[in-house]
Amino acid sequence: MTSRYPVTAYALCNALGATTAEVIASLRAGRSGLRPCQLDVPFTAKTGAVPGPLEAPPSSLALWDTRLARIALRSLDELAPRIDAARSRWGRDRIAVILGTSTAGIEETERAWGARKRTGSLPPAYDWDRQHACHALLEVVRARTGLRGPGFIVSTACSSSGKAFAAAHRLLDAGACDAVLVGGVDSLCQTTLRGFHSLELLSEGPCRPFAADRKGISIGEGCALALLERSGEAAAALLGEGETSDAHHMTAPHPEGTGARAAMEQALARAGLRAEQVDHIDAHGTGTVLNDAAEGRAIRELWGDRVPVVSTKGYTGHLLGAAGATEALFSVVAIEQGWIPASLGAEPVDARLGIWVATSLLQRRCRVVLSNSFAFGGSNVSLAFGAAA
Amino acid sequence: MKPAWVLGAGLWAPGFEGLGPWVEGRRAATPGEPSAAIVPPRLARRTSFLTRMAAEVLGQAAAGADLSQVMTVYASAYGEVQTLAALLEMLCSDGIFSPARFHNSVHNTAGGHISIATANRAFSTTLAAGAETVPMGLFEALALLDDRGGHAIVVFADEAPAQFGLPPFESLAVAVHLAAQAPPAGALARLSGLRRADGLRVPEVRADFVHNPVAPSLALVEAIRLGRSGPVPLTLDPRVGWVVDLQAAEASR
Repeated sequence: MTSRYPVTAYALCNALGATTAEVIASLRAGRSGLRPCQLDVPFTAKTGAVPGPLEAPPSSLALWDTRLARIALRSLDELAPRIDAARSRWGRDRIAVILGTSTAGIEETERAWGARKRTGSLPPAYDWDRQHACHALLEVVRARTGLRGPGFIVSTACSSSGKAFAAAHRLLDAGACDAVLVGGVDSLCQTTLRGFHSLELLSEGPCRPFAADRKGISIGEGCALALLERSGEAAAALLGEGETSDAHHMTAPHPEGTGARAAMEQALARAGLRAEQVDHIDAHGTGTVLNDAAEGRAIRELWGDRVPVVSTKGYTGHLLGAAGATEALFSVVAIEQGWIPASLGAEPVDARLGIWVATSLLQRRCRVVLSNSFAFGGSNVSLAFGAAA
Repeated sequence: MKPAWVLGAGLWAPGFEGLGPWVEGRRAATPGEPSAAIVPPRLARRTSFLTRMAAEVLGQAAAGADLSQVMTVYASAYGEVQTLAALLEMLCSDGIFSPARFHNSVHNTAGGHISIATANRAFSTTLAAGAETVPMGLFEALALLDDRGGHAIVVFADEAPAQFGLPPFESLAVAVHLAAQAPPAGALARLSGLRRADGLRVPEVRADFVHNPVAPSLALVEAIRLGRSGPVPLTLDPRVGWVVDLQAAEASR
């Protein structure tokens, strides 16, 4: 059994809103953030874009200016007072930065590549290292916060920022730091929209996880950041995590959900919990036929229809590298505020799943919540959060 | 963090198909391809160059490890850049993506394919940290062993960049097989004390590899191969210095 670490502060921005308060209010109200895709793609899709104009970074970070960085800075600025307090408490060298992203700043490279096709050279302002590469995000966050502890980006596609929480837990357990700024960020881009479309996994309408007639995913963008500290005031804590591989297929989940089930079992074991202690599961629930069937089977085998299961992707779209952290924080909200959002778009629920999909908001005391993320390459993570006290 | 024991190491770079040729400076006149023997040929045909390079060094470093059980950490600053370049070409031509290219473009492509090739359902992760990719990969591997015990192979790999405006460099993959406990048969070396150490003297690296983000891993595997003990610097940028202590052979038992 590993230690538990309180989630002392968090910030969210995604299609549901530009601030944490807006995001949670929309989630509670059952409002979807999915809208017709504004990117130039030759097919119909709904996407979850961060609303409103995003502020440019300060001049010291002008070379790092990307949509990804702007989204990250949006949440980072909201969290800044809490990060400052943690820095005063632990010292800047003792706070790690571990973030997940799947595509990093790829949107800039898409534009630069197109420009070179037209003009013969990359635009002068384009900089792979400061805009596209994973570490660009790390540099932006470090520059803005002054944090100097160990820092890296976990990039395992759609499980990235769920695994960032697991990595943060390990560094705290190993004594390598006293706090971690953990989370994930991804922005909308051509590559993921066209890529998922090529795999025939993109839904034309808003995604409808766990619905009988679900037709695929909708893609979103956003950022989720949290402070995990060795100790501190908080409603919820990270208790344990399971990380497994399917070893089955690059894009399709194991049909029996064996990797997903193993990840959930491992999370429970490492948190010192029994399955019957789980009050709610925030599912990966992408809305593809195969993911929901495999995840549903894994949940059914462990809980039957006794635990309310929700996918929040009908609100935000699939945030890819930011999905794990976003949904981890929705799990924290469930513990903190005692309600579970409706699984938007799930009706009529796929009866073959044999699980309890919550189709309306539930007022429910949550002591333990599991949050799942699964990814290309068969990368699975399940995080167990619990009431801190 | 607790110390870990080094059980094996591997290296592949164009013209250097192993750690032996590398430390002896024997570069093949005609560079070959990574053989990636642990990946069955049918699967290998669907993989990328970076994945085959990673599979090759993982196989070299395995040193008797059960490849269906060992935990894996992949560290790469840039990931699948050649695959990304191919996708961008598709974006700029008819805009239609190849599904196989798309799923091979994720940062954890090597981890995914290799887990399938070796039927390994255990822990695997993929991370990036720019100039600190090597120390952070080692950090994650050591924290993992600290937490779970057992064996982990950490693979450091970056391939030659496509036309993204980066300075040219040669592709390189390096792997180190670590164990949480000293094995009865002894280890090659013992690793401990991974820590920040700004301002350290940076190791010398062949000019054609110096811009490869995982080039700092060369100092580590060279020291392992040559049985050297002492602090090993893990970055080529003294402003973001990290160091780990290596104790060779007999001294590590």
